[in-house]
Amino acid sequence: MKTYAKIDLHMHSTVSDGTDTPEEILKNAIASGLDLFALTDHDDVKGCTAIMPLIKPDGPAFITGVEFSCRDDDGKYHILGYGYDPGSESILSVVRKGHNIRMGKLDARLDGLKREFGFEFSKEDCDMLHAINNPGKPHIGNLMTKYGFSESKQDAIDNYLNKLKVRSEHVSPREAIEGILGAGGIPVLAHPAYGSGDQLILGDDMDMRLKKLVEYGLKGMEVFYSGFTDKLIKGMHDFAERYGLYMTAGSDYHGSNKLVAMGDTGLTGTFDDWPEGLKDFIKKMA
Amino acid sequence: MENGKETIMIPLKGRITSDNAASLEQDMLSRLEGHDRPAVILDASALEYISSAGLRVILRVKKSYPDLKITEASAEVYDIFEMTGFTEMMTVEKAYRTVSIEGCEEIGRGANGTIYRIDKDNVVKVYNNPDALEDIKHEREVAKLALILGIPTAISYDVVKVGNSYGSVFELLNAQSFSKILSNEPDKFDWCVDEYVEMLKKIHGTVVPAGKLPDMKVTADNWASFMKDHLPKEYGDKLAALISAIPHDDHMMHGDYHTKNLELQDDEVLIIDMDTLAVGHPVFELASMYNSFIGYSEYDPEAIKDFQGFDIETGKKFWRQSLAGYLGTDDENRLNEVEDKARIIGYARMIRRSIRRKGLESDKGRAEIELWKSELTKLLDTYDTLLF
Repeated sequence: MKTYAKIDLHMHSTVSDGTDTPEEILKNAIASGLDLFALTDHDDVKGCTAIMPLIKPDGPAFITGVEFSCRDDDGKYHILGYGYDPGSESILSVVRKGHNIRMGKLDARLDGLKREFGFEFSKEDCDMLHAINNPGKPHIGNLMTKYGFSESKQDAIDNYLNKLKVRSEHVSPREAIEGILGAGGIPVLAHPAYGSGDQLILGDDMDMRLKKLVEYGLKGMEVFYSGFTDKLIKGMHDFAERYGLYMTAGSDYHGSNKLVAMGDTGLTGTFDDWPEGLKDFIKKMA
Repeated sequence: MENGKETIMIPLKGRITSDNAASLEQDMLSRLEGHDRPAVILDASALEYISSAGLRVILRVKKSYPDLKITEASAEVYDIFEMTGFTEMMTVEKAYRTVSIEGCEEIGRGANGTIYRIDKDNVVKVYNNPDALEDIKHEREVAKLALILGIPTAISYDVVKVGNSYGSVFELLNAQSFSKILSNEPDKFDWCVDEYVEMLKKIHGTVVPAGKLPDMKVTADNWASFMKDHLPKEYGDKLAALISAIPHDDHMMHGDYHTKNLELQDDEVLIIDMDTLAVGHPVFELASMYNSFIGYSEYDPEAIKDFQGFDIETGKKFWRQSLAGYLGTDDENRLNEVEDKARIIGYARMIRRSIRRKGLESDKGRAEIELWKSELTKLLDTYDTLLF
């Protein structure tokens, strides 16, 4: 089978909150010496559709990817999807649901700012916010600062936006997993020990999460991750083995937004040293 | 500058979460920019919480600045660093809680420290040595070993700062020392002796795996060589020969086994102050017991009151009755013989200790040392072995 030297299966482009366009992602993948990579934008597959025609046989191999933000009664999750058909209605319906939820949330925030604090923005600025694929608190915060409603983006978030009670629907982990599977893809739990990115989930909590997600159809865990210590990698590796899951490796590269280098996944050694769960994943995908 | 290398200290404050991790990262990097690979110290004294977003920032900074350590982490923050494996990949130093012993009852005193009750459930052992972190680690390790080997004791669960010294904190619920029981409830005298002897037999019946505890014989050989400078030659030589002839023994001994170090907690008897734990022949233990109950008060019979709370008569009676219980005999000749052999080592130890604490510089100290020396030389004339 074909072997690989440097891989990175988790990164973001301007389609979500990265600073590289999909084309620049490909260029950087080549410059970073990757021979296998996946683009995993938040809640969207457009970046992959853009990169696929640019992939050349003598360049790095590419896997379609996505990172869905999910939530259920037990908490928040990021679910990665790999190797899906980007034209499949199964995955596109999850993307659409996510987009509608985000737009609903944006409207609820703008209404809340007007109702609670009397802050209003021009139609042009509101349209601009709606044109952003994933408009969050930082985008609104920047606008508030521009209008002089807040001293800084952080002030806007801490003292205004975080005080608004915005109720919103969520994509559930089950919907995301089923959407990925229905499009022929493999669902993988992103940075498992860090939950949706800002939690710490270990031991029994991790076990409970996995039990449930595996029931929904989860097939893999991101065992190697730029933000993990060796101890966390070992812990995630043991969980993946216990549940018979594929293993993946990702940096969570965001361009110049975060200071993670592309290819910095915590994975060391050569292909032969990599755990079977990772080699099996690559065998199936690449 | 540390070892000639530039050191940059960066404070971490409040709560670090995904809301402010990115700005913290920018702030840290801008402080470090333009410096040539400095040592970085993250001062966590004002850090209340760090989420995984914050951990990732530290990990990234560590990748660019490998010489990075975290200091003054609170117990809660330290737990996070420990669970996530950060303590394995960088130095993370804990902040020590400060505890005041003002107005606290002294409940025990040993060779290396004094134990105070700080509240209903907790006691703190304050070490004499101001730089006691290694001693504290040692005591914790040997206490754990003793517990694993079946000796009921208390294990410290926290290290604190007490004034300029360090202390280790133990949970000791509603406990009182045997010294206190003997002082306040004289009718429990026989019960105390029985429990004291039973614990002593348990300790001396415990075989310790090789290399886990210091060998008392090595320590005692050092006492003997010290004493050569302070005794007439034939006595110095004889003392060294007698101690040298004591065989190695791999059974446990406490090393400071007196009634202030035995605690009754509910119905359970616990032995505390474990830093002197060693392996060795029982004669070494008996020597230290004799000193606690009689030896240190031979010149000044009031001394025991300050130390144990009870009088010299109680001390003498407790010693003799314990010795009889331990040896399983009431035969006075046998008791006298074993007592004398213990006294030989006991005097050597007390004289050395007093001289090292400038005992020769005061009238009282000199008189006390003379008394012990005359007893010691009499005994050395009488015995040709310390075994019994």
